[in-house]
Amino acid sequence: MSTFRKKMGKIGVTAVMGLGILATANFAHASNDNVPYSFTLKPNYANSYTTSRYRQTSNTSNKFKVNLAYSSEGSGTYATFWLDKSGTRVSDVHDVKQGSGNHYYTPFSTANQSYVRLGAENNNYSASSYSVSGYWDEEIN
Amino acid sequence: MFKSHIIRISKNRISMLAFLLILFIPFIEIIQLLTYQQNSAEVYHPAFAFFLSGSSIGHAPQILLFWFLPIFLLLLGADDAIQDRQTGYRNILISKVGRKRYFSEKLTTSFILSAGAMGASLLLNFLLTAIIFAGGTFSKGLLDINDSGNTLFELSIGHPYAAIACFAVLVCIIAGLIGMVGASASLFFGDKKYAYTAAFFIWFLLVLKKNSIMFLFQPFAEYGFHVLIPILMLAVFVFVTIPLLVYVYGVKFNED
Repeated sequence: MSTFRKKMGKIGVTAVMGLGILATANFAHASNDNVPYSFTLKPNYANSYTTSRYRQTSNTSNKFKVNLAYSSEGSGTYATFWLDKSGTRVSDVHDVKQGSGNHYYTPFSTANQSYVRLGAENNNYSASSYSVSGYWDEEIN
Repeated sequence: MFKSHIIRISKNRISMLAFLLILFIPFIEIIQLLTYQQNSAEVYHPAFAFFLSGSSIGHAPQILLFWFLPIFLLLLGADDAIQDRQTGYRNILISKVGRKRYFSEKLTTSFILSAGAMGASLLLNFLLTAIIFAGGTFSKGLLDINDSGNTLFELSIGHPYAAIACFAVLVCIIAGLIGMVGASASLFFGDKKYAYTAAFFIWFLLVLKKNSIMFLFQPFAEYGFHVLIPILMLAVFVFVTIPLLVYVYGVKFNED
């Protein structure tokens, strides 16, 4: 009887651990990730977007992250970023300098518990277009 | 001649329409920025809400006004010489005041008119942004960017109002010069088709360049003196040479 109990106990522990791993895996995208993006900064009215990711927090103090790692416009040039929910802007716009590391910004509450994507455009109103790449995350906690 | 020229332009409906467009296109930017603020706790800093700072996404109003600037300025009155030629008034004026004065008056008036219209538009925009966004501090994060080594950027961030004032004066001068190029094209071709195309073509070559003339129109951007000064020198060279050549050709060689 005691061996049976031990066995069941072991299975139980394993099950809990397994569920735990599954659960953590499920929540993995709520952690501080580096999701790569790359696209072309178009010269005028058109904006560029990443693919959408689910922002599950209900707290706006859980910021989103932008890192502009490369820009074909040149080293130290700027680009403008914001958070977008199917065509609606759900954060303020921010200029980020190429190579300046991670930046964390507060979104609007409308960004909570919904699919959001990173929007970007060139900060200049010249006629040129550039390709950029880097990392972002829709929430960091 | 200057006075009658100005009166004639002020009575022209198309000229007044062009003036109103130059004056009101920057309004679109204010409306855009106000809608941006609706969900936000932030209020734009007046200097960063200024039309030239280009804080809106897409920069549509800036593109509309600045990429097509020579067209607006030609409509405003830089194409006046074409009307003179079509009506025959040119011959009367030239016989009255001489070729030299005729050419120099056309060129200087279009400079004054173009620079003045741009100045009025920017001044109105500044006054409105100063009132509407009074007390605001949001700069799109530009105030937090550390760009040491870029003297122009550091100076601009340190003194945002001085920066937009300097850029505004520069934009007025460039608008005056491209207005003068428009007048030169009108004096030279005497036909709207060619004059508008030529002026727009010259302008757009400078817009499309990798180091675009548009960089001279935007404060708080990443381009410092070492990029802007060569652009400015090329632009001034082109915009002064063309009117000069047209003047010399029209006064000295072309006795039509």
